[in-house]
Amino acid sequence: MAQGVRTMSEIVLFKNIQKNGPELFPAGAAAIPACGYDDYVKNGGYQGARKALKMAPLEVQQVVKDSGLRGRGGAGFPTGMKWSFVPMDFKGQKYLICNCDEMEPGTFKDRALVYGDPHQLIESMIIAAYAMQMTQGFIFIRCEYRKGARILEQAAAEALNHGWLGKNIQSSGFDFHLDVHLSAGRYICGEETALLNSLEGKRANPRSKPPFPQVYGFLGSPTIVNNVETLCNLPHILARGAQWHKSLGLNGNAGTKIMGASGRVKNPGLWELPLGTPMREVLNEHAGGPSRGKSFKTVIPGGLSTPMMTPDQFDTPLDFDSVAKAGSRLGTACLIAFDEDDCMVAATANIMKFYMRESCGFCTPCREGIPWIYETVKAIAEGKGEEGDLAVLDDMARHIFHTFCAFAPGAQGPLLSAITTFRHEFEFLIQKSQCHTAGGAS
Amino acid sequence: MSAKIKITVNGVMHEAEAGRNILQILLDLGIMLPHFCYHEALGAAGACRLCAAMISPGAGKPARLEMACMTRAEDGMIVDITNPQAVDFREKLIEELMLNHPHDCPVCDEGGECMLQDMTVLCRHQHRRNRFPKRTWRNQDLGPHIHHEMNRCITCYRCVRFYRDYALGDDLGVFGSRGRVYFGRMRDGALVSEFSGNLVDVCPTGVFTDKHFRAVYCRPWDLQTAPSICPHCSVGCNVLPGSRHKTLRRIKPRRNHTVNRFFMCDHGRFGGGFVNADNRLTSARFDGAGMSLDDAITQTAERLKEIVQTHGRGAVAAIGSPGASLEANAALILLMKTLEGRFAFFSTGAERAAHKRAAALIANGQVDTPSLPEVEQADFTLIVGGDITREAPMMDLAVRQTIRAGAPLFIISPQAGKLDAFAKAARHAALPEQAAIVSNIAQALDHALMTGQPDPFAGAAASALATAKRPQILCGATGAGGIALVDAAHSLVAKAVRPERPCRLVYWFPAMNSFGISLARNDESPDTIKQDVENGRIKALTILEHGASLDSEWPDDSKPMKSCFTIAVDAIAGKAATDADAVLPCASHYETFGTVMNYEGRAQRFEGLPLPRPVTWSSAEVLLKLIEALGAGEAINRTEYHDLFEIPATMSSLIGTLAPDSEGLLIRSTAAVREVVG
Repeated sequence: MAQGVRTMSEIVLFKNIQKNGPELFPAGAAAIPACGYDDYVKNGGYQGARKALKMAPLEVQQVVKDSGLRGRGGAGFPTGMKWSFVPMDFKGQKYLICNCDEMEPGTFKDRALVYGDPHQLIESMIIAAYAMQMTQGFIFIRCEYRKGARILEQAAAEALNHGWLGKNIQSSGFDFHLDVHLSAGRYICGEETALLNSLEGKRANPRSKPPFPQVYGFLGSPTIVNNVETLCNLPHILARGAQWHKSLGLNGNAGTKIMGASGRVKNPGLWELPLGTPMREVLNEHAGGPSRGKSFKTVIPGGLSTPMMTPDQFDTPLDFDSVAKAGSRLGTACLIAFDEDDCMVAATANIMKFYMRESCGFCTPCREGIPWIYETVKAIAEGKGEEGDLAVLDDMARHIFHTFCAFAPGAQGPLLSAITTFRHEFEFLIQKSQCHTAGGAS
Repeated sequence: MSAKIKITVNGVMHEAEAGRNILQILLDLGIMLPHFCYHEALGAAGACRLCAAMISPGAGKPARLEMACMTRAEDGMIVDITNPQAVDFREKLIEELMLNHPHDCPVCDEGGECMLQDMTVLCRHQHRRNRFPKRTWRNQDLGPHIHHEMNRCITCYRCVRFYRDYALGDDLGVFGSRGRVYFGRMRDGALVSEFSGNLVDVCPTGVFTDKHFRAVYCRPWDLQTAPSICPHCSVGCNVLPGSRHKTLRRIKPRRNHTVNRFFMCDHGRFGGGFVNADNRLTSARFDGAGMSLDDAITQTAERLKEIVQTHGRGAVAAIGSPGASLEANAALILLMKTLEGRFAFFSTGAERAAHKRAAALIANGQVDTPSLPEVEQADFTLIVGGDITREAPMMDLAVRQTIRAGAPLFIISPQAGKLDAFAKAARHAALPEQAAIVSNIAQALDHALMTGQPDPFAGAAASALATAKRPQILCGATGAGGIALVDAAHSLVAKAVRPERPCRLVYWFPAMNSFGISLARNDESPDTIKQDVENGRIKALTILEHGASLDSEWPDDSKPMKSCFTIAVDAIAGKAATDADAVLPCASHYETFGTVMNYEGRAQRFEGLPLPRPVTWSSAEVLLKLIEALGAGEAINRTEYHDLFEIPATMSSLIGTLAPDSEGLLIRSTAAVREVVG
């Protein structure tokens, strides 16, 4: 089982963030003191940006492309390729937006980065903005991270004072203005086109793609929306090179990944690990194994919107391709663990409640289908299940896929895996009106 | 855009126009793929997800379940709407939409013309599996016209896409999120848009229904309908009035892709009350005594004969109506010819001059008058001479489409109007001063790119006009601005036109058939007729259909009128009919047939509802009866439209054959016409 903790070969993203307890996990947001400008610079900060500003924008893009960096927001799309869709000859204003609407349940990695090391994010945005010649940036931050927004605003003011923001930064001739936008708070705002609508002051409904934001984004201008963690890799890639970044991961994966664990684990927290670290290692070595002395029943690997994985899949390396091959998605790599005493029907009801609550209400399968699914699962969990409920769930779980955006398919992931893998729990509850865990079955 | 592509639908190859979405192509082909949120005018939203079909980019390429409205048709595409996966998806989708929809079809006013009913049956959803409580809402009072029933909502977003996005209204919105999306106002209150009635039509189910229609129980299939033309302004929207049990129940827009297309304004939709009004004239009267219409016609003819015999030529006169058909006005002119009488239209000589000039310019093809769909395409608009929001609402809606596309709008109007909010600049000036402002723009056009214009408004308008590719000027030919304004607008257009760039010009008129009567031959100035009535030279005056639509400066209580024998041919007991010596009632606009000409000079035919009223004759028929009673019946058959109106002979013969569901007949597209005396 335990093959020894894989060395955290390099601490890259977390190097300025003070550890809080045995592992990095803030008991309260205030528990991470933000790294100020002086400490950041002392620790090698702004070296990547300094280097980038001396290069040609397209050279910076090329370095990022060569580094193999893939989006850390969950989809894993190659960052360099995404950037390459921006029309560099566009005459008007282009926008860079940092997506810090971290509302994925079980995911709190961006919070650590923002609260602990705001200058790392600002430096990252300078590099990305310069690479695509975008002179206006926004950090779109979830409303629950109010304190984070203040930290960022304070850091941005420091950066401005030191000539890293505003006009002609570091006498490079490049202007970059950065604003922090506190979201009104909807999960759907994390979807990049809904984020753009929200930022424009419209209803946070996703937009139809194409056109993609890279071409037609904020206010109709070319726009790049990148996740916090994705961006935070940039200073290090620029400072130490694409090859160095590539070498950080395991089995040909590039870079490190902040992995997390919550739920039935002894030490919930966040760890920066090589991309490709096996799930078992994260669960048992870093998170300390199951919290209640029971064995794990299942794990949702990447926030909530990914299909559940069972113990026989725990050796899967946590990287985009391997997890996909195992039938799930890496997502944010923040694991949610369940043990054998957890009722998966109740868990599914809880999960569906979240999606029901957070749907934007634009398209039918999501708006109408998910509440029906929730009501049905909830009724089963409460022992009020009826014959035919599973047929409804089967139908609806397959139905909520062809929707306007990826939100409902995100709900489909855990649902479909729950009613497939743990079908016996649903059946047991419908027949006996009580959970098999309480009844001592299983 | 006229490039053709080939797409295969359910195994059959079809030719289609490139650049359109699959759903529109299927609908045009007559293939009903179920859908809700898609609307030809409002476009695709992708919200309802009902129009799912298996679509493959080409032979041998894998097909995927796609929304047809969101898929642009490409050459070689293969569409299968009968695929079991697609059929199942659509059935489940209806099941979802019906989860919260009340089963109140038997008492719902939409029943019988409900798109949700149709789609539910079409998708074969029958059995309700949901056992949980339905969502319920509090409804709002949206004013006198629109009834609100939110529980029926299926969240297709059509209402706000029409009201906000298309008609640029801001007092109806979408609130909430997830399964709690609410369409309504911030708080109860009457909808302020001039186009709110279209909510009834765009809503695919019974959320927005017509309060007037639902006031008296009726099913849509019980209505008797007749294709008609709205009588309220010079746009000439095609409408479909419906009647039941002796009353007009409602008016809906009728599609004519060269005029109003899908929509109509609230004035037209809810302005049919005159048909059912209490003050309808139902019986004839002569010298204060009630009698049958036949008797009244006979006695009137006798009296007219006497007057002509006693007083000779020019002793009888008539006033025609812009609210009456070409036929009715023609019959009136013919009556005057029979009696060697005189006739006039309009309120004043100045109004007559302005109307005639504008109509002549349009009829002779000297100005390029756009249809409403063409108005929508303009990239510069100058409005002058009135408030089109009130005087030609559907033209306002067309201008709103140019605003949506980012085109600049300049307004010169007597007072603030609703379009001002969207204008680059709006200047308020009394009508007589407006011609001068228009001339300033024309002057500024000479140095459009110079800065520091003496008149900043004119300078801004001129520089926008100079750079536009499809500019248009909309000018009210209402008369108060006078012929000077008509000419100023024409001069500006003449200056703005360049070989590579037309500049279009609309003259809008105050009434349904103002254009038609402006073409009348040998009419006099109303000023001289009025004078001669007052000084007693005119002994008999026939007034045609003035009660309903126009209370002009015409015959008032002035004493000389009392010495004049007046004949009112009207449907409404208005002022003219109350004072008249002979009252000859006729059918109202929606009960009769005829031809009218809109602001473009487009002749359009309308038919009448078969309402069983005491009076079923149109005003034209009443007047023809009067001519027959005078013993001049044979003149009727000898007379053609072009004998009475300045219209080409070719058009004259075509008018009789016009079908109400045609595009109508544009005067400028028929043979060149003779110069109209201005």
